[in-house]
Amino acid sequence: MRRFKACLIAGMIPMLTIAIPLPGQSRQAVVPSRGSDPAIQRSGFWFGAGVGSARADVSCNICISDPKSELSGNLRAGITLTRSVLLGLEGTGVANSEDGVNERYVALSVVVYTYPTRSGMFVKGGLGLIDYRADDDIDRLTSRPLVAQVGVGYEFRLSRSLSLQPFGNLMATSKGNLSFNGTRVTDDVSFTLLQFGIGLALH
Amino acid sequence: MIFQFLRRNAPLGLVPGAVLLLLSCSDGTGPIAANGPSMAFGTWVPGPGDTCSSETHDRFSVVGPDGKLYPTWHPPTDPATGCTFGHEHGRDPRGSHLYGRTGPIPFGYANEVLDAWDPGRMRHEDHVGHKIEWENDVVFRIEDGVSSRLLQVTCDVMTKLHQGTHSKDAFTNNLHELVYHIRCTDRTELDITVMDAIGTPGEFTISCGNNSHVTVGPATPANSPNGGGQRVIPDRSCIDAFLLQPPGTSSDFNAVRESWQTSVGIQKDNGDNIAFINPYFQVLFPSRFYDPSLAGGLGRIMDTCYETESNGDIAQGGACAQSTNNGQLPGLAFDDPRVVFNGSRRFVDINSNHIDNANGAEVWYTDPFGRHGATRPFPGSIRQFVASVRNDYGFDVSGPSMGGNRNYGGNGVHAPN
Repeated sequence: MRRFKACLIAGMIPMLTIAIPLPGQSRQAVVPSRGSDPAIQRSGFWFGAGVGSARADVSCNICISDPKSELSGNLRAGITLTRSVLLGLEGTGVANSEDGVNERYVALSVVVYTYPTRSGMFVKGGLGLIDYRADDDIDRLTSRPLVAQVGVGYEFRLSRSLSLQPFGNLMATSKGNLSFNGTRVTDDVSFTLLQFGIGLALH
Repeated sequence: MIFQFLRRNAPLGLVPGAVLLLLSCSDGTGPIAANGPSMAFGTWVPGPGDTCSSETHDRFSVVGPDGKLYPTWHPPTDPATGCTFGHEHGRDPRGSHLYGRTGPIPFGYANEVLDAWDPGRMRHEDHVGHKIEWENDVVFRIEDGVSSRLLQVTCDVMTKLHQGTHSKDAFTNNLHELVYHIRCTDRTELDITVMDAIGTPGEFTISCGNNSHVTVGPATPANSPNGGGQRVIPDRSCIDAFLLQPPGTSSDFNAVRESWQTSVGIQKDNGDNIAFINPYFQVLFPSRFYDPSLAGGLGRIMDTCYETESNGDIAQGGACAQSTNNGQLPGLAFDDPRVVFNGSRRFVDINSNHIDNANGAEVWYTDPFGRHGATRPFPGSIRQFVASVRNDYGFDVSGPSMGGNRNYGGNGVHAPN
């Protein structure tokens, strides 16, 4: 689990590095933001990364509901559809290790970001798959249900194309199978993850 | 006041008219059975110290799935008159979450069906041996590190075993009626009624021996099938080795604990198991032990509380001291209500509940031994319910003990119980 957390953090570094404006980027055609700060430019491809804390809970007819705060991170990238609508792919990882049991969630979703006001506030929605795994290095519980997510955040401009984004995000899955070493245990497991964090976005 | 067994829903396996029949018995005569009394009904008669009449006792009855009248659970004292029956049937089933589904348990129904299934294999058991135990919301054990941390299975469990520990019956006879109900959060659901073949007929396993078996004699019926599990019962060697001790040394009363270890399968006609359970039924202070030097091989543990061996060994402490008020009550007979050795301290190890019936029928009809399961009733069959699931997850889920903190003695209860 430590290795996973290390990888998670290591994964953030290149994305944060990407967030530094590239030479010539300002010469690209830009779509002015409809947000309150017209200086924030959103155009072409965009990238982002964030870290934070997630409260994860699992639910099923035989699951122990014991929500725990866990380390989380995300990476995202996409294209700008309009000046207030972004489309992208987002990967989210959540990890926890306690009492010899390692739990991790990895979600991959198609996400849409919208900026409904002239302020820097954004809301997002997404749909994808989540891969859940809990193991004690001997046995494993796994599940891979559909996941939907909604979130809100706010952009604080750091430069013309770079912003700091505190965010909150709620992910909820459909009911799916939970398997023990590949054998189905129950078919009604679902997960919820509530994330809070901060990220950087490069537009 | 007549004892009411009315429920909101139609009880499992009981004839639909049973509730109406019970309503009709407000004159105190008990329910009226369309098909007459069962062999088990009306067999109890009061002993010298029992103050209730047979008529009072027989009011505690229920109509079984076959329309016959059966005895059922009652408290050791009649709530209407306060008279005592001298025996108990364990925990009041009306407190179980499962009671709304099962209703009163007819005692001796499987024995009755066995008469029809195989008239050459009749097996009728006494009344006092029927013992109910149940527990709601039992947290089961999960034998895996990651699963036990994240998963929890809870169950409502109710059992009824005919477990007489006062007579010579179980020295040889391995057929005993077992009723078993369970509902779990993982959708494990069973309603089983069988004649349970516990161990090998004609013999038992010594409670203090190293899995030593004692062959006693022919069983009733003589063609009783072999079953899984075993009946663990004390014999004279346990008395000599563990109860009778040098003065100043405490007796080990755990050596005389009876443990009836079942192994029950519900099988299709082709022999495939669709359900398997193996509860262990424990009796801490039975009335009897096996002693081939005595008539019928039947010894009374209480009698040994007063014994002094030639080397001076005596029984000390524990249940002997409790029964004799630390030696101040000489000459207590085995059936004195003050004697602790009356079989009223019991517990049940629930253990495993396996179902391999995914997409299968939920209602099966089996012979009285749980075999030859078919989806349609046949002469001599018993209705069983097996949830349409498969609960083999790759890790064991098993039930803990229930009932160990209860004592069904007192209120005039005495051996035979």
